[in-house]
Amino acid sequence: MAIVTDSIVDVGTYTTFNIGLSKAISNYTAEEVWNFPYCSSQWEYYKHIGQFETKPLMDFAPGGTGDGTNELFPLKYTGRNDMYYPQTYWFDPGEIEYNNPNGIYCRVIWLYGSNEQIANLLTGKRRSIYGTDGFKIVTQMDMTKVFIFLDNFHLEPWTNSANVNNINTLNYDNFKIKEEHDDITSYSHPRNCSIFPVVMFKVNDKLYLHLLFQRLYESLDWSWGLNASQNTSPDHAQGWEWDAQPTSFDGSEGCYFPVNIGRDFGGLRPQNVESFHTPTDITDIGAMYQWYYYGQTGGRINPVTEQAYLKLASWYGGMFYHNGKYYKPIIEGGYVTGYTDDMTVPSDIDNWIGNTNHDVPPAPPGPAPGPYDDDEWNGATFAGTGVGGAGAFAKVYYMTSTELANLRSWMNSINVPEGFDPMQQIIGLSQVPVALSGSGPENVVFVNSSAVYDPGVTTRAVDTGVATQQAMGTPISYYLGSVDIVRRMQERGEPYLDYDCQIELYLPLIGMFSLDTQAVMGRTISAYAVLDPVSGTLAAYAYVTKGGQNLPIAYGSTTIGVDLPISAQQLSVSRAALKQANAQLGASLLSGALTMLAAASTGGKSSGSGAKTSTGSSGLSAAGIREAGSDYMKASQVGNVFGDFMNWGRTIRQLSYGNNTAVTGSFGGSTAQWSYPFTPYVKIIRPRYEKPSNYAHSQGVPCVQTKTIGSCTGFIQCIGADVSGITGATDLELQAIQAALSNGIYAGGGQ
Amino acid sequence: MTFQFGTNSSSNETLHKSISLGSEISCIVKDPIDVMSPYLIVKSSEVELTDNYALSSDTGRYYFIVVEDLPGGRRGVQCTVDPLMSFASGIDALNVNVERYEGATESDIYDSGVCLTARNEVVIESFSGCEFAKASDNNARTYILTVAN
Repeated sequence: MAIVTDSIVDVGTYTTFNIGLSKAISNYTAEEVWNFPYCSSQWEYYKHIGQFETKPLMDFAPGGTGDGTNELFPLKYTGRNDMYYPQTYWFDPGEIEYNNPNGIYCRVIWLYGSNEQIANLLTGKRRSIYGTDGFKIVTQMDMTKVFIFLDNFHLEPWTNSANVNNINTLNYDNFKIKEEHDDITSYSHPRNCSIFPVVMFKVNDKLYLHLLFQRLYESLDWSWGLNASQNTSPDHAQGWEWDAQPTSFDGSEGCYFPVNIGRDFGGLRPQNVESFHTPTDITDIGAMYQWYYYGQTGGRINPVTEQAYLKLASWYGGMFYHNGKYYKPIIEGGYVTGYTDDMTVPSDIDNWIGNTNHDVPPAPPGPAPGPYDDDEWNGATFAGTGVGGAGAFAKVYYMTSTELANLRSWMNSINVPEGFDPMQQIIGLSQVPVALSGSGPENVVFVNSSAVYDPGVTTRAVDTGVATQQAMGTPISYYLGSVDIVRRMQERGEPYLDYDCQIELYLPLIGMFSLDTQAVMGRTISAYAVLDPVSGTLAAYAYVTKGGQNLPIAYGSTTIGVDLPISAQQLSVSRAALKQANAQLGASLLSGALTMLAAASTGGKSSGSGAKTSTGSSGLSAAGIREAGSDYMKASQVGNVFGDFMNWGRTIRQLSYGNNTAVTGSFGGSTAQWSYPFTPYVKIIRPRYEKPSNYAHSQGVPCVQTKTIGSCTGFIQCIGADVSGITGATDLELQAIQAALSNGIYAGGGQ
Repeated sequence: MTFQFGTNSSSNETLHKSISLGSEISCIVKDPIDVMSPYLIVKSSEVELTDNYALSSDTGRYYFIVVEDLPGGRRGVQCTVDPLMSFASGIDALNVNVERYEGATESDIYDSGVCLTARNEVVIESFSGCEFAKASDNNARTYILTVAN
């Protein structure tokens, strides 16, 4: 949605930029409005205290009456020259997109307005962001690369221009955090309105959200209904007020601001946030916004009765990250009423309203961290295996060694039709190390392509009579089984060490794969193999499954079929021998005839030795032919022309077909790899550790939560505790207490 | 100043210590008076050499003590304030960021205090239910003959 007029700004060089919607708000569709990244599609128009009237956003479109009740979101609406902010009266949502030189896309969205507008917003309860114990709001990206936010934006164009961070003068300092420590008490008219800053980043096609108000739980000095004097003290502006809905604006309810970001969180500024989380699967994105209003002493907003108040009627929420999960606010009536733990299921411990002790909730929203995380996957669906095959012009048989021997015998027999060369019909012969079942029994059948076509003959098939299995012609899928990657280290008491494990996977005959521990830990790995018998290719893949979705973790292929040396190349030699035999037979017959003639003339009888001599080795070099030649020689020893003729016929047949299994090819592939395991396995290398039996008692367990010490029992260690609230102690004693807390104490009489 | 002497059976790092104190005794505090480490002079019969803890109702503070014999039937008591016990209620009310806690549940948070050994555990776990292995049992072989069709 393009709602920015100048949307692409090189933040490294820009000086000014325009903001605002690319068209009048009235020209946006409801869907577009809903998709505004910062706001609601509907606002409640608050005419009178306690009286709300719901109106769609469109009703606040520009071009209203100008009396302050019907405008919302005009672009740079400057027509009003009221008593406060003539330059920017109404909310002016803006969005800007950047492309920085590093290719990281970021987007900054903001709202700003006058004190009145902000105060109006604050007439609704705001529990927009709640930093809690264990509920960190952290950035979702590596802040060392890019970070932009608008810090404590002050809009005072007419009172203190030196401190005005006008939208046109913001200094992003080349992706570094803009340090602003404006002391709002120093303003003569401290009508400071903080923009919410929300920063969304897009990295590798994923958007990440950064909320400026992170780790607010660090300061739980809740600001409840600050009075006028408190308003002047930013120190009271730490944390979020819990119930920010005033019953009236009479000047005593104070203001409602969550935090003086620029002042009180110096040590907790985003650049110092110690943990950044690598985003994984962010499936939704939005923007949070937050406002605060700081009223000036003696001059706080005291709106007239008919002043319009606005509050959000719904929310386009952002997400929070905690312990590997993402939470999204649940918005009801413009309030954040809870959080989802998986973006769909409401959490059941989000009764913020009922929490009256201002302490942190006992546990973060959502279910307690379990052995498995709830990362959403966009899993892969593997294709079926019913593809491929030999095709229409080939037929595949799965044969046993006995069947293959039978076929060889047939090919060497005189049952081979004359003129038919079965070798020419063989496309390939290979061997695989598994037992295959075909589609059904069938004799090996050749096609005698050399047979003369006879319309009266229905087939030229040559049935060998060798029974075997006809192959299905499709790859065969094997389930390789599964294995559970158990969180053994969790069972042993150190869950985090599960992720220090190294896991390797062996896929049969393919090899080893290093797995992503994060992806497989605590899950079940399953694997399949697919064998293409024709090509001998074996492909295998392994995956983990969650929610019906498969996450592939390893896949590969190899060739396990071994080509056997069957070839028709010998045929040429055979034909050459045949040709020579014909010539020799002719000579023999001629010789025999001459001998017969001579015998007739001499009365002698030929010994046929000439034939033997003449046939001799006969130049047949191939073994089979030589053997056949030997047969011929024996046959020729019959010693008469008729016998020679008959032998010739047999010899011709044998010469032609007796060598059909002769080979000149070589083995393709190796059977050596068949000695590898056929069952997958995982190799898991787990860390070992040593820990004293009283470790938890003497040193504690990492906690990273905010607690009252009184609620704890046993060893507790708190570094940097603020002990200034302890009354009656000397400075030395306070230091001693702080040091003791840093070193660890036993709370609750735990020792 | 009045003190109660007795014993503390808890470790010094315990916030709410288990103590047993006697009755209040008026003590002479040796100059210079230091509320954090006063030196007391009491009668031998009023404090035992085995006492290790004291409470001053005047200062509202608990003290670790070391008792020593002095001439003239007196004993000297060197006190050192125990700020944990003395301000236990204030400390209990502190809302702090807990780095480590005995009662915390083991989690996926790294614990740098655990020593990893150089020798790891290596295990091999085979897949179960492998059909491919069954298909290759007994040195099964299949010859794939492809012929023209």
